[in-house]
Amino acid sequence: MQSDGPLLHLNKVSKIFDGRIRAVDEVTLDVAKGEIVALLGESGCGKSTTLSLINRLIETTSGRIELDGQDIQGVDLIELRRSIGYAFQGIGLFPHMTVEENVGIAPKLSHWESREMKARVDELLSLVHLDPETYKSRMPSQLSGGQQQRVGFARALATSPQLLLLDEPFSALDPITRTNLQMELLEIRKQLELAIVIVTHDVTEAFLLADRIYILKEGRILQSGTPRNLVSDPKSIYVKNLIEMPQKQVQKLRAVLD
Amino acid sequence: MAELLINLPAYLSGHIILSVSAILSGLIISIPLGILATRFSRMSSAILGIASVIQTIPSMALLALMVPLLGGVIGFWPAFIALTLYSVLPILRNTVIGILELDPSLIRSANAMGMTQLQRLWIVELPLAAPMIVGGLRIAAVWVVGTATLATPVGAASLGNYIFSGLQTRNWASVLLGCFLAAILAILLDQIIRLLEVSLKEGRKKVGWTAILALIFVVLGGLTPSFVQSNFSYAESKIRQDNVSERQFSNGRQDDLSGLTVIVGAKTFTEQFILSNLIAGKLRNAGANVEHISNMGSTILFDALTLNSVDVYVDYTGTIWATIMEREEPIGRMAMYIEVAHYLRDTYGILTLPPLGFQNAYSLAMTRNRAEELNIKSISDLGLVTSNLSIGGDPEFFARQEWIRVRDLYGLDFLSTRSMDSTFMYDAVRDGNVDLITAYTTDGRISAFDLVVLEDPKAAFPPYDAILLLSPNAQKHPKLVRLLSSLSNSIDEELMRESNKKVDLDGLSPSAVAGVLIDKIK
Repeated sequence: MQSDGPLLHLNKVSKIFDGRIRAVDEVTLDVAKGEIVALLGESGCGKSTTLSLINRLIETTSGRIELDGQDIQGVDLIELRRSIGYAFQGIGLFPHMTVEENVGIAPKLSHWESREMKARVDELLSLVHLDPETYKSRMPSQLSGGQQQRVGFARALATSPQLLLLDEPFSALDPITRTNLQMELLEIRKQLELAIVIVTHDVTEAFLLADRIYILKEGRILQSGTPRNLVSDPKSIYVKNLIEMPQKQVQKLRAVLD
Repeated sequence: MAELLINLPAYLSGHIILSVSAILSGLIISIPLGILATRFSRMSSAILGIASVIQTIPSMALLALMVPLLGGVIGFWPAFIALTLYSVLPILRNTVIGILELDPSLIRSANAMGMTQLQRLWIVELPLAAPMIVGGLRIAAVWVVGTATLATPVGAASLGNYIFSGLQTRNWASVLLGCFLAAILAILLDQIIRLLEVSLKEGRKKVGWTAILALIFVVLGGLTPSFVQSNFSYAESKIRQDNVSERQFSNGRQDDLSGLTVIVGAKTFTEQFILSNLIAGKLRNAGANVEHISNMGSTILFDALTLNSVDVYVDYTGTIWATIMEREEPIGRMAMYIEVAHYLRDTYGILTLPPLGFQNAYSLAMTRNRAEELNIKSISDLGLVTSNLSIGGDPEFFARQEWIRVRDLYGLDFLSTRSMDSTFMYDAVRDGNVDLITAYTTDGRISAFDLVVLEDPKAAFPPYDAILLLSPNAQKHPKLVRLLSSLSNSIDEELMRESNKKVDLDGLSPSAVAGVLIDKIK
């Protein structure tokens, strides 16, 4: 897409647990700058594990991962993680810190000045549609699930990463909140030059958000392409069934209502 | 009561310093250990296992064990180390649980945002586990304050001194005072630490500072008397072990001991309290500076003497014969004194002064009525009795060589033994709860309760002449030796029994009775 190569490149990456469980099997994929890529598949297909390999929450068994053309094994682990945004289903806000402290923690770890940090927190909270003055000093326990994940996004974006990893970030939210947050994520991406890798089992979500989708099964990539590609040219029955799932559900729903 | 309160500053401050320092060092040890345990799962079970084993050792035994482990040092250090070990488990366990039971998503987000191990510990794990850790601290504090009352027998002053000496002299006000103050102290510390817990849980900094301020007040309260008092006998005595030999003598009267510090020890019963007060009084009259350590375990006291941690105390020939020399067959009074004196000089460099003049021997005693009813005059007669007889004695006695010898010589296996504190055994025999007791021949209650001491035709009980033992350092001072030698042959059994009775039955204090005794034997 861009002349200077992909932002993220996975080359034949595998992860074997306990010497025998092949969770990720020779996965090769690219993410261009500013692109949203979805890893789609059912539970246990290795999509979350693949994501965790990118910021080395889990170490790869074999293969090579490059970020901005650099092998991530050659980068200091702490530096690598600080340069990548990460938000996940569990959110993991620190319960003993205010919203402001939670969002500001990554900049603080990178020794930002406190004034700079406060300005950044306000900016980020506004970006995720939380009024800074209202929410800054609240504790996570005083927020709804949706608000917590908004703070989770703000925290992940705090140090202006080029790459954001999202591991089923909307799965625990109710459908209305989920839809709102999905739309906001697209908006945020427009404002920031940000590449996103999102892991999801929700076909609609993948189609709605992603520029390109990789479909995984049993640790392998079955097929990849734009949503349009996948619909027009499914290469296997599995892929066909998977991407037709939302339509079938709509049909079922109609049948019930008629 | 007023007399009890004289010792309050020393005992209370000893208790506070001992408890707080043990709890703090327990905290300093446990938290890093706990963190290590959470990092290496294999270590965790080993660390927790060892801590649990320590916890199962009875506290009294753990305290007493520290004395030989430290090479005979008595006072603050053995108590401090035992209590520190005791405080480790609850804090350690809560640290491990507090960290391991944190929501895994917190650890995941800490890692993902690029925290180092240390940052994760400081920013996430410790703050979130803190309420749990402080909960462990609370448990440790209550345990330690309670257990510190048992530090008395190893020579560390604490509120336990009130309890131990009160139990021995039947001074219930003293026992209650000790228990009451220890309980108040435990509750106070518990509540202060609870405030810390609340402040950590709810993020209320003011509450936290209040708690820390209160803690500082308690510690300062504990430290104050040691600045005020020039001689604090509760502090470790090991440091001073060479004091006697280094002391300069001033040229004064012939028996002038001014400038000399002498540490007088006492075991855990009334006669020892009186005699140690008597010795202390004599020394003070001669101008010496006296430190007084009472309520010490018998063998702990002997070990302390060999190491110059105690300079002088009263022991008994029969006790040395059986427990130190491990001899079984008794010999005559004089012969035993001579053998004991030689043995102690040659083996330990201890000087044995000539006997004080009375024996505090073991004997078997029963009420006159019961003895007449069963027609018993001597120990041999016991074998002829057909009904079941029970014998009460202090726990130490039934493990002694003396008892084993008497039992075997007279065939007393049929007696059912009941261990009880020596304070209660006289009441027990008077009230008919036991038929016999192992009475001490100088106990005032023998005549007061109309007990008869059974004859010992086979001379199974060894003689128990009271003797003054002087540490290797103390005997280097001729004036001190001369002064203490003047006590030889000055107290007979009658006088000792009468003195004991004044404390045990008339409620006088040992020091008051000792004062009377000094005047009598002049």
